[in-house]
Amino acid sequence: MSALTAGPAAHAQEARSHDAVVVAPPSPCPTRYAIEATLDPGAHAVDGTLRLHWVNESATPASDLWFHLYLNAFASDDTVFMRESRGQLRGVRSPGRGGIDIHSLRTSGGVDLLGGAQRALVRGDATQLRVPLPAPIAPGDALDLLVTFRARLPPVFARTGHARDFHMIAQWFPKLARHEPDGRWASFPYHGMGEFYADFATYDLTLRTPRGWVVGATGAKTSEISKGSLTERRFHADRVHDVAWVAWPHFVEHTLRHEGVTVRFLHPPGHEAVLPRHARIVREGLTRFGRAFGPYPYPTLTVVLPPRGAEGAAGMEYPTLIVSGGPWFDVPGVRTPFPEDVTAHELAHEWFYGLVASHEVQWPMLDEGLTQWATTRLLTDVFGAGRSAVALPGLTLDAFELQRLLALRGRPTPAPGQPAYAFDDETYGRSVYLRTALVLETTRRTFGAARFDRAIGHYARAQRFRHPTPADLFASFDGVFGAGFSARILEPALLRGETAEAHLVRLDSRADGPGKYVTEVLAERGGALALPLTIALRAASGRTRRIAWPPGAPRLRASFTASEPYTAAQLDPDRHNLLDGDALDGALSIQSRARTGLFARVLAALQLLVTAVGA
Amino acid sequence: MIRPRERLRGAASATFAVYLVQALLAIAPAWPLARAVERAVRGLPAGTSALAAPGGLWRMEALAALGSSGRVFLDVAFAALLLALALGPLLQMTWLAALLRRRPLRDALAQGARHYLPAFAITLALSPLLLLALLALVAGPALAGHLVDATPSDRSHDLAMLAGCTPALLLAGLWALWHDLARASLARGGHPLPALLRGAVACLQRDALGAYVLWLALGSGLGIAAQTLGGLLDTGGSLPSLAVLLLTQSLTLARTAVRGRWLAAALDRVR
Repeated sequence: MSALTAGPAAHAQEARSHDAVVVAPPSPCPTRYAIEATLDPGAHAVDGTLRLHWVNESATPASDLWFHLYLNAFASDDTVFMRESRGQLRGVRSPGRGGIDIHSLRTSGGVDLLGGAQRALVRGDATQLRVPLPAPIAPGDALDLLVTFRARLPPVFARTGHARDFHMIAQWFPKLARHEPDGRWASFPYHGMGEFYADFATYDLTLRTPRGWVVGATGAKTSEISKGSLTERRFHADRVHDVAWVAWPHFVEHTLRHEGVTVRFLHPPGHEAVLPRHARIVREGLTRFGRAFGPYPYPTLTVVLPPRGAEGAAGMEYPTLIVSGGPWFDVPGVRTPFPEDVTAHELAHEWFYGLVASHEVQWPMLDEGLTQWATTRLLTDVFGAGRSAVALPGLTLDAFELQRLLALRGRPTPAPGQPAYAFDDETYGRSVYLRTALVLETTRRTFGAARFDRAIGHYARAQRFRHPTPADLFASFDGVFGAGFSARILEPALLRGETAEAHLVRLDSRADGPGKYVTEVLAERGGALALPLTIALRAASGRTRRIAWPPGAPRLRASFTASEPYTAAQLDPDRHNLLDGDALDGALSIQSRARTGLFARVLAALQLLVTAVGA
Repeated sequence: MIRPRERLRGAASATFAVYLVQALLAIAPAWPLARAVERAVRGLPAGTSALAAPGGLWRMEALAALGSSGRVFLDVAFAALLLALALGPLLQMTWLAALLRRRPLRDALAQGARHYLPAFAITLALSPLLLLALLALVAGPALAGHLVDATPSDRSHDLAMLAGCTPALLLAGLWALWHDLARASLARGGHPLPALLRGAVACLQRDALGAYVLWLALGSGLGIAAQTLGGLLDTGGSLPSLAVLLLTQSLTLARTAVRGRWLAAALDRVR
């Protein structure tokens, strides 16, 4: 039984098996960001003051600081982001400019650090800022800085920006790069593919907007005061690695409580009909993800549905705040990917990104891939496998099977375990998202759901509030499946892109005396991934027989004698192997069913077209 | 006065001929496409019935297996549609001639051939109206959307854009009605220009558009029924394929007859 589907008893049993992994609640971090920000809606800009208390938690003295200035990715066509993405993301072209201006950067003692700072560390790109320090900061020591800045938001593009009076304010402040335990700064330019990476910290936000505007932000709101034409709200968040906020005067707000979390929906007017679908999947996700990966630890979650024209902000995750999307209407009884899929995906990111904070540029499969698997698993458990992607009258589609075809048919893709910049727009989705999800689901189906759920649950719990690498994921699996499991299965599939293609070559069943038939089946592997497989044979009477195909054998030749001929063979009849792009070559039939009415139906459909343009 | 029903009965052979020609045009892409899908799933014991399996596994696999050859079927279908477009005036004028005077099919065909070019001229003459409808399909929703641009409600905006399609739909309906009535008038004799004028006058009759929409809806209903019933009976496996073919073609023939019934009525509207 899946941890995502497990009942209370199974959950209790599973919880006992993870007694060794204590899931800690978020606690204050040594490093603290206090940001005061005022939105200028006319200029689509944010004026901010950042008070940063930074503690060197590494083992070596720090002689400099590295900041991310992500908004500068939109400053010109020459930035790394624009060059790599060719000025578009998810099919939307960059419609305008944005950037961030640092006005001052001083220590608490008033020493100016901006003068010696290096801006363009990569040609044409100012998304990183290196700040040499007057004196090294020893391990355990702290540094207090005061930074004033102005964030100029672009027209909505690549997760951030404005659309008329809607403002999605993300990647908007000078944020320290992740400081690794060995003292290195994991800084990088804002790439066209891949996202972010930062240390956990405590954040206090003071946000000022015009009075009457609705604001959603990372963290829990602690106060709200209106003064003159402005409203000032304060938000607090412990142990998060980013903060984002959204402001729009027309948001409609709905709130629900589930699993101890206050979930706040901010949506445009008119989306009321579809809201229950978002709410249902959020409830299901909080419960099932919580059981599988450890409970959602924060008191609030904000779900934002951006308005028309701001679609570039949709489909993005921030700690305790997700931006979904989709239409305003709901057709009862019809299951379409929108709105549940996006909401479920961004919610799953609260675990595989928000809590398990892997390097999203270096190892995007650890956030996007695991999230895609968790999302598809959730949709499968909630809606049933057959309806997990689409359920229209006369058409149902299985999400994992659909993803298998999208990922494995057509242009080959690099292995998912590559840095984000190794991919283009198309292969990134097919490999990092889909192939990773297929590898995980194939592992789960082939080697046992219960053990798989223990392994991934262990990874999610053990790496909570940490910054894991693939080695940590593999260690969790080896801990459950045994030493060498990852080297045999996960590493070839994820790091080298191996598949488990296999097909049936021949099926033969012939008489061998009165009432005796010899059946022979021959199968071959095309992929290098050694999965155990099964072949099901069926006789005309309906009797079935199964043959196990061990993982080490590249070919299988099996024969047996029975009292009747076996006329059909099906490789992997239980659909465990999702790493084979062609399932049709795994089916052979000596006596295929007589021709059906397909021609009649195709003909009738085409006659409709012909008469429409004819007489 | 001959009633439309009697006209239709008298032109049964022409009606059947129209159905037959259209069926032949559809067979050209339908046969190879159906065969290709059947070949793709031939390894499955359930054959094409597996295409209806929940989750759509074999449907997706078959589609992926068609791959680039799917383009060939699209090309054949497009060619069939072009041919249907080219043959359209001949078929319709032959049909109208048979409906008008209950002539033998050969005579009606000769009459249809004589009216081929004038019928095309009517189509050309009315094409600006069709272009206007297409323009309205683009401009109407855009204009409606612009008028409510300030609303923060996506629902209000989208509903306004949907309402903005109404002029385009009315223009398209008017074009189709006028087109049929003008060709009906042409079948009664004369030149395209007077036929267009008589058609325009007939369009203004109180119930003209309503009657046209009624017959159109009835024919569309039969087409949808053919698809739905054919799908249910085929995938349910309760009928042999020949029976499914007979059922769907019976409904398609009935749809052709409904169209003939409207054309027979159109002849009386331009008397």
